Amino acid sequence: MSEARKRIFIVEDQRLIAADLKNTLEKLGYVVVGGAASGEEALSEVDDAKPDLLLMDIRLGGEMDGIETASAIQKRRDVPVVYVTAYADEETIRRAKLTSPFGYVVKPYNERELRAAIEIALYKHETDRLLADERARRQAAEEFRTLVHFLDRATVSLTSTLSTSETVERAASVSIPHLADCCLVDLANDRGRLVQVAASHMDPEKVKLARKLGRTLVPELGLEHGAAATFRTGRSQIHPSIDDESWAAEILGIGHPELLRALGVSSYICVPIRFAGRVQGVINFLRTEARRYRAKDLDVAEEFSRRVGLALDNARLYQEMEAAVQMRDEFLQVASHELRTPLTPLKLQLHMLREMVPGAEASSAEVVRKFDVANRQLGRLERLVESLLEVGRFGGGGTALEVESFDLVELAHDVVERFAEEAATKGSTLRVNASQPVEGRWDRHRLDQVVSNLVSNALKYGAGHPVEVAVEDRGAEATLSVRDEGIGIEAEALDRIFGKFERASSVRNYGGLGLGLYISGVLAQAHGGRITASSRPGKGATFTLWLPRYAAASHRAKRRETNHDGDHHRPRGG
Amino acid sequence: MTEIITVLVVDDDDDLRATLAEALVLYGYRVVTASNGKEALARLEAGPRADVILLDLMMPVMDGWAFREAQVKVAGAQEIPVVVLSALTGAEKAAADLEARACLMKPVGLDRLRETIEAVVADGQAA
Repeated sequence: MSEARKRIFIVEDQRLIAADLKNTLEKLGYVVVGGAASGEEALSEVDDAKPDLLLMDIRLGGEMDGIETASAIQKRRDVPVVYVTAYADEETIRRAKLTSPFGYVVKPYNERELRAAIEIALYKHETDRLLADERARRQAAEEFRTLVHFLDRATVSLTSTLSTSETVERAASVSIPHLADCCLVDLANDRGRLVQVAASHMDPEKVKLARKLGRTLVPELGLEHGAAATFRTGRSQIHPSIDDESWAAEILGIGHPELLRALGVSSYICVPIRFAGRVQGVINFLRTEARRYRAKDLDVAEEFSRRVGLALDNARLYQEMEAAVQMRDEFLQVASHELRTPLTPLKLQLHMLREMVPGAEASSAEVVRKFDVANRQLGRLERLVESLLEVGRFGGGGTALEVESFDLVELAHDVVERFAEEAATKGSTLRVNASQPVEGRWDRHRLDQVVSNLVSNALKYGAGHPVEVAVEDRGAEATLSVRDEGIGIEAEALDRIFGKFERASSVRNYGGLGLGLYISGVLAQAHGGRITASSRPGKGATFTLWLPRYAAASHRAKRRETNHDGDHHRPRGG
Repeated sequence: MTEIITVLVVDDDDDLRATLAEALVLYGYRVVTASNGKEALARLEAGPRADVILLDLMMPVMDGWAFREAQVKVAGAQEIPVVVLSALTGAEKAAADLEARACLMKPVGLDRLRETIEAVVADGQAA
């Protein structure tokens, strides 16, 4: 209890008793801050006096008795009352109890009784107040927990989709019931006009009505309040009471305010949705009369809207990325179509020219050699065009594998045989090292591509030294290693050689687009496997393809539908 | 084979059309050319009857898909086998959808082209 002297207000119609009470109280160390002889007088003065306690006679001259007076004062002030009365009949006590008195002193009183009654009343009042504070704190903590839980739940819901329409639908539905009984989301369309994109209501049957209200919430842009104003200025609004229909129509610009009553809502908050640096829309929250909005609800609404904005921004970025990928894929398709088209007559013409060369003349050999070079380069160009398309296909979200059972050793032999001539030209010996068949389920064509690429690289960088292809059975995995004894790869370059267009060697020394290793890596991954590389500069390099032997069958990468699959989407022209 | 095989080459690329015609004539075929589906239809209607149609897909005026739709409505031309010759990614699937007998990807080699034509024509005669 506070050390300050307690302030007491006396309501007593008998002047002598009032004066005696005042004397006694002051003697006991209290401050008498005022007095009144009637209920009416007490009511008009008690607020200014700010007492800590009322000493109240029950029987008063005037319209009101002490019990009525105490009851009226307690409606306005939280102040304890001690009755001083000569009566103690049952009826009076029953009535007095309703005003939750803190004590009685029966006249004639003595000092000790009076002091005890006052001290007990003050103590009890203080205890009640502390209890009430504690209860309020607990309630606030509970509200805060609920709020945190709500925002967490909202965030999880909002961030688990990357579609704009799904995000706004979720925003509308998740805000019920915590934040609103009815929620309407508007977003700007291409022409910068607000358009309703989602609506929700506590009562699923009223959602249709809510949509109707939502459509009329978006009026002309000139108004200073309402959804359009928040959209224009970016400022939130809170209107605890929008019961007045003509006001709602005129000030907020709500087209059909009678819908508010039909929806059972009469309290309104409107907050902006921001992302990509500007206001992109608004969220309208509406609640029933029983749960009118208060200032702190606005903070929650703004925080909620901030999260909606983040989710929408994510969705936008994702869609932009998707569009960019789609555009790249389309470009690659068009590009490869355009590149293949002129290759066709070129190839046919070369073939015919070659056949026109007479065989017997001395100059023929030279011409044939030149044709062979031209032909080889043409073949290289063809393969590059194919590689270009592979990049698009894999970068664009994968491709389907066509798995079958076969022996990896056999495939190694096939590839080595195909490269025999090239190896001989380069002066490298090329051989397969395997003691037994290594069976598994893989895509034969794709793995042929991978092994061919690794062997081709080994010959290219092998500096004429031996190249060996080793196939090993490692239980659940199979490995195929291609080892050369050539120039090798710097340690720092090892990590990035699988990247698109990366080559560890310098552009001047070696040609090629550098797509081969990248594509090989992606193909290995499509099988659930990988390619690793180890090297010591000057001592050669070993590339190892690791493949799960049977896991591949279950692996089927997502296939993106591209635009050549039907009549509707195919690109026109050229 | 004693009868001369007639090939209808439908492609909008002038050089390719001329090259194909030249090469196929060299190999002893009779060649009729058209630069789009609409021209090809006119050739079919005017005769002589083609034994096989070498069809590009992406063409102005009337593309390969529209040509196939129209071809089956030309009396006497419904049964002429079609070989799709395209640079389009996914041409195989398109060819299957169009019920073509074969699909060749550009750039095609002469040997492959000839083999395919022979096979398709032989297949048609056997049936």
